[in-house]
Amino acid sequence: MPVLHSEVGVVAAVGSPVKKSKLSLKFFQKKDTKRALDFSEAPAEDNSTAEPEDTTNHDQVVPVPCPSSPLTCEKCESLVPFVGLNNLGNTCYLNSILQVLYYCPGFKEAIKSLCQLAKLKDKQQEDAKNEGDTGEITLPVPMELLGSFHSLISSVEQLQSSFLLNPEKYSDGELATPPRKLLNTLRQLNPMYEGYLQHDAQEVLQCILANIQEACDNIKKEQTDNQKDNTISNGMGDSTHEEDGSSDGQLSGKRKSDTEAGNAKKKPKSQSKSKKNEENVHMTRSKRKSSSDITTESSDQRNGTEEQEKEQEKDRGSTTEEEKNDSPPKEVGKRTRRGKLGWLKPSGKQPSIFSKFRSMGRITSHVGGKGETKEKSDCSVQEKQEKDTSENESRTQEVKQSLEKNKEQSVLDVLKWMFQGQLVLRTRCLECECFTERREDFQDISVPVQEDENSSSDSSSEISPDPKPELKTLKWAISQFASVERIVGQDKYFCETCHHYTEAERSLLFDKTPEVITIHLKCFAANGSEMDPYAGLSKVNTPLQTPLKLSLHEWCTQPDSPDQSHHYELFAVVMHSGVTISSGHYTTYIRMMDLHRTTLRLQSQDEEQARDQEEDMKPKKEEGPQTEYDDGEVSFSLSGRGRTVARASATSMSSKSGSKRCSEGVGLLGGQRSVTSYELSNSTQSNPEKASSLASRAAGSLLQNAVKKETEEEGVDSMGDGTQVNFDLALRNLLDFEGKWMLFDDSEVRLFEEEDFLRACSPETCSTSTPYLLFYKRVSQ
Amino acid sequence: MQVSYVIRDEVEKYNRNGVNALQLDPALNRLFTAGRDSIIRIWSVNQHKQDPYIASMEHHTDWVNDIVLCCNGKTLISASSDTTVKVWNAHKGFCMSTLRTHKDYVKALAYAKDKELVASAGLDRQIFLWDVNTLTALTASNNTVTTSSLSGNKDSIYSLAMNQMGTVIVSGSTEKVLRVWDPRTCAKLMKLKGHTDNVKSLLLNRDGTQCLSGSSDGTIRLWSLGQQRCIATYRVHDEGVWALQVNEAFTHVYSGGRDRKIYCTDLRSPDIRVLICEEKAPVLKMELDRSADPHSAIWVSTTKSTVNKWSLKGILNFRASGDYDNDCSAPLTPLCTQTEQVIKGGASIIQCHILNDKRHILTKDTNNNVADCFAAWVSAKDAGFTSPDGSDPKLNLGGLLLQALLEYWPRTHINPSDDETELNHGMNGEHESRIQKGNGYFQVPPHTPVIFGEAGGRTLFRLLCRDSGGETESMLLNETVPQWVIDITVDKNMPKFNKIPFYLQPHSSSGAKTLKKDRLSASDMLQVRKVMEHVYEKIINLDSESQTGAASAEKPSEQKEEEDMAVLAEEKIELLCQDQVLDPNMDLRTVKHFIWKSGGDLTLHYRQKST
Repeated sequence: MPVLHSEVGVVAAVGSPVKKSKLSLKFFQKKDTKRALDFSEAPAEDNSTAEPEDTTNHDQVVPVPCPSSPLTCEKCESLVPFVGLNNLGNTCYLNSILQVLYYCPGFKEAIKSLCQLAKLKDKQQEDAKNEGDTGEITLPVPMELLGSFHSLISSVEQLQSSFLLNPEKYSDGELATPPRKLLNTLRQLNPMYEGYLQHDAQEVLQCILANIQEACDNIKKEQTDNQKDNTISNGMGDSTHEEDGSSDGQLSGKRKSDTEAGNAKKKPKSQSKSKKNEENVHMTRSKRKSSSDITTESSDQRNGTEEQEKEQEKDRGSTTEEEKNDSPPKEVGKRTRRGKLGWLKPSGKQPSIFSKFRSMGRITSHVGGKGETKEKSDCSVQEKQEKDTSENESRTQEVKQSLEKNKEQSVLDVLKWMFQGQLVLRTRCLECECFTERREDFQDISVPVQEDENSSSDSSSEISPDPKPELKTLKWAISQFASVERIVGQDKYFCETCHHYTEAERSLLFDKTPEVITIHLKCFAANGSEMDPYAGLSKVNTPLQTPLKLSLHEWCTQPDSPDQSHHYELFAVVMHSGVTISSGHYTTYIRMMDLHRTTLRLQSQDEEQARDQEEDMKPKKEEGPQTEYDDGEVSFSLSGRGRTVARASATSMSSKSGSKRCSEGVGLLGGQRSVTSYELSNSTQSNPEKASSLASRAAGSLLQNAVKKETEEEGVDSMGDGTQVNFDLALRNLLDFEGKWMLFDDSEVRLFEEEDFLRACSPETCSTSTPYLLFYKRVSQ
Repeated sequence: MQVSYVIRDEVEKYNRNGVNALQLDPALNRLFTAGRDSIIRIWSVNQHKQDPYIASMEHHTDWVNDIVLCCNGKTLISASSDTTVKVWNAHKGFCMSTLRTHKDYVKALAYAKDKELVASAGLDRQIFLWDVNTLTALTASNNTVTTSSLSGNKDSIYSLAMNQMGTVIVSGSTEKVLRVWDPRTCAKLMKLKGHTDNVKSLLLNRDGTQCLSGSSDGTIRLWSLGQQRCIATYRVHDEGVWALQVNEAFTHVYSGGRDRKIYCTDLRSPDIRVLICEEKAPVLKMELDRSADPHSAIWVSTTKSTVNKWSLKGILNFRASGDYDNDCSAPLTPLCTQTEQVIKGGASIIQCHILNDKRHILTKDTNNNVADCFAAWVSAKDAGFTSPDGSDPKLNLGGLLLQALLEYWPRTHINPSDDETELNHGMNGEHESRIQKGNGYFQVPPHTPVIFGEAGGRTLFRLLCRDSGGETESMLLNETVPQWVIDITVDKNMPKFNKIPFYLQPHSSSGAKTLKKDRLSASDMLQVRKVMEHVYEKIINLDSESQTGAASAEKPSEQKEEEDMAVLAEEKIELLCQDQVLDPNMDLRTVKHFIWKSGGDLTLHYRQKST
């Protein structure tokens, strides 16, 4: 039984020694190449991962599966009350980002209120439609994203609360939900995500944020349109019912046609949407089917998967067909979308004033409305951005409150407030010391992890020594990003003040800093050949330590501004493990914060508990069969803790941040399933699975014994208290995790003490697992 | 290689731009100002004199950045953005020699009086040491000089200082560190770190044990070279400190900078500082009048052309009064509100535009006056000259002007030629003017400076028009003047037309079948109008044998007919390049560079105008 075998392997890996980083590299490689050939070997790859605790003790590698150790057997203790996301086929790039967003302070709430707004708008429009006979109105795709995100959030919350209330129900399973709906929306938004290829987490983050922003813009636009409509109809005084409909006609012709076009394009959308729901049903069904296949035999399972894939293919085909049918209106929508996407895309292709910095540190830029001026929405973006700029400062303080108050406007801009800052490119004449500035928005900053040959070695020495030694390196990286360039020699700068060619200095500074600053570590190096997009690039592992706290003080235009603190605290890290930039696996570390808020939410949802739980079960059932590798190959693995442990340890052991030369527009691709590709967590699993989960539990407990601190055990114990857990207790348990780091590895969630987390991220532990995206949130001093 | 000339009055009595450096000759009561207008001027500072202007020292072709007076006032050495260092006879005001070792702007000079040693430094990161006595001995024939260089600077040098004894030299650069050498051995002594921005001003005390530095970071620092560290930091300015002066005892520093204020600070007790005055523009340089002790006045130059003298007489009373005890945050009232003496400056041109006739330039100066510089010239010109509009292809304004500029050069007289030459050569638009013959029809004012420079702007040779007959000058001209200039001025061979190949095709919208692709060729100065005529005549009308070439433009045909043809052609057809309709006044060169843009042969499309 290959399956069982492999499980054993995992367990062995957990309980047993770990290898060195180099070996792990090899294993990863092996995994990549072999996966398609022989899934039964997949578990062996787990050996490549190391358990953090054990690291110190073992430096041997156990390349071959060992008999399962007797340590197995605890299960529910190992589960933490946080919900994982199932891998839907190389979707860890997505999962890692979704987890970050979910735990990003204020983001959940923003999505919820946006969703409400969207629904509200919807209703209004439907009313309008009924009255004015304007025809059916549907959500544009970005709106759908809002919806699917919202539903993901609620299912995560529901799952979490249901677990807290009834931990024993999940005793042998995992706590995870598949982000299927969201994935589907994403695929609609960008066909690039079709199929099961691995993708860059940073790109998907940008894609999601861009589309949510677009949804906000749409809502805003509708708002203003409505306002206009209202004003007009009001102005008409005793305008009647019918005239209401014609009030559109009073608007400028352009606007009217706009609305019409918009409506036209929305209409087919609703159809396709409903169709999509059907698709979903199909998929679910087929998946169930295949899951049953799987339980019987692995080869069947493979067939099942293939079948299922075919079916999906078909479904997709039908979708595209439908799209074709609707093509004229849809085209319009698409164009807008593309323009928007470009807005947030890594600007490698777009000329930007910062292009000269790309060699040093790339800026992801977003020039508002640059895309398509034809579309009215774009114009509104621009307007909004302008308004945004002027309002931004005052809003900074308001938004937090208004968030709760559901102030529409601020909610609509919350995304920008949260993620978007502004950079200034300052050119200073060295003669008269006058400077000129250009501003550009940014959503993340890309910093190098590896010294450029040219950069002077003693640049760091000028940075005042920091109490935390590890701060220096990220500081160095940001300094590189914000590096000063001199315009000297033959190509001097013509200074308008001096009326003379003079030397000048160009520097990049933060003018406005966002609530959450995203740092993209460029973990790749160019090796000469530029023929192939990846051939010339390799992932690099150079030490770059990840500080828990960050201050942007020295790179700000107004370092002492009283209304904005430039102090940041790390709250999430997306790790990439893999030796190449074209494949690998993403995991996410997140620091739990504001858990009391979760608590409140749980209580408010009290009445819904029963229903929630029912619903929870549904996604759970679907979990099993979600293997969707494009190569049709399925590797089988256990769902239990064992894997997580192995995985986590791998991450922690290995993290060595990459060193990097800078290459532009490149991301790290990743999406492999965590270790073994197949996950079964249903209680309806057949015997082999049960065995495996036992084994994994054993591993978990082992880990737990080794690692967990009292606090956690406390929490776990109380969770184990069984059916009669009351809310307070559940919440108290949850609160025990406040400030703790959790590792989200697809469906697995594990607790990490801060020191373990730091070790995992630190350059000393050497492996191919490196921090890739760092998320810092603003803290007041 | 490029040739340029300056349109100016014969005597420019006023500084035309900011003044980068000042030197006082106490013996003769003279002040030297080094201007951004490239001229070093000598002024009398005797108060009673009505017009302080004495003389100009003109030879630089870019900003003069620094000057030092050596040999008890006999010799002046200047450093310029034209990358040269020049040695002048300060009494007579002529240039003795030019040092071209620097590769970029020379920004700073330093002088060791006891050894008559001068150091120059600039944006090329190099420091060169010069023995002044050797420099003054140089002649046109004996023109080699050895120099030692101090290298090691990593960034552009903006300031330099040497102590009077010539034992220590310090440089300040955008590297933000001070680097110290021993000029006797050229050995590096130390690096001093502390400033956070460019260092723009440096001073050393007599024995080279203490150093004062003024930086763009707004601070003044006092360094002990013995201890190799900063012993005090003074924050008296709101912005960059660009100029420093100190008394002999090294106890009081005068500082000025971007904030336009001039302070005197007691180095031993930094709280004691006096705001001496506030200028109207950022302060570039100061020079203490050391004729009396304590110093009675300070000369100040700014980015404006006026140089002011401020009295320091009240400073003792001010100190004694204890007014300085007010805390530094309170606004100080300046010691002086009235200047003691003013050397008035003139306006400088800040904008110019060459008019379409290529003979007039519109300029705007700092006083917002708009002038037509060429006005005088036009009247001086042969009035009978035919219409200058560019359609007459037989004139090359640039070539004729070149001949005029070098008309005194004996070599040009060797083969005087009466032939009227046809030529067409593009040069820098600004030189272009026109005469009918090599010389004779109109003359450039003999004081006009002519400058030969590298394409990048580095000057190789500058002379006045009238001087080209001089022995030295003509010898140097023989060395400098590029072949293409000789072709024109000596051999009277005007350059050939630059031929430009192009294709002429019917526009796709016209529906006409694409003709066989024939490569045409014409002068790149050919106007689009001429091509249109060609199209009209040869293709549309005659319809058949098309490709006699675009030579029609050069074919002398009856003026009137041609005009008619041109009018007709313009009415009937239009030419397009890259789908852009071309202005008939454009020439092919312009079309190629600004519309076609890409490589490969220019392709033009024609179509009949829709009526």
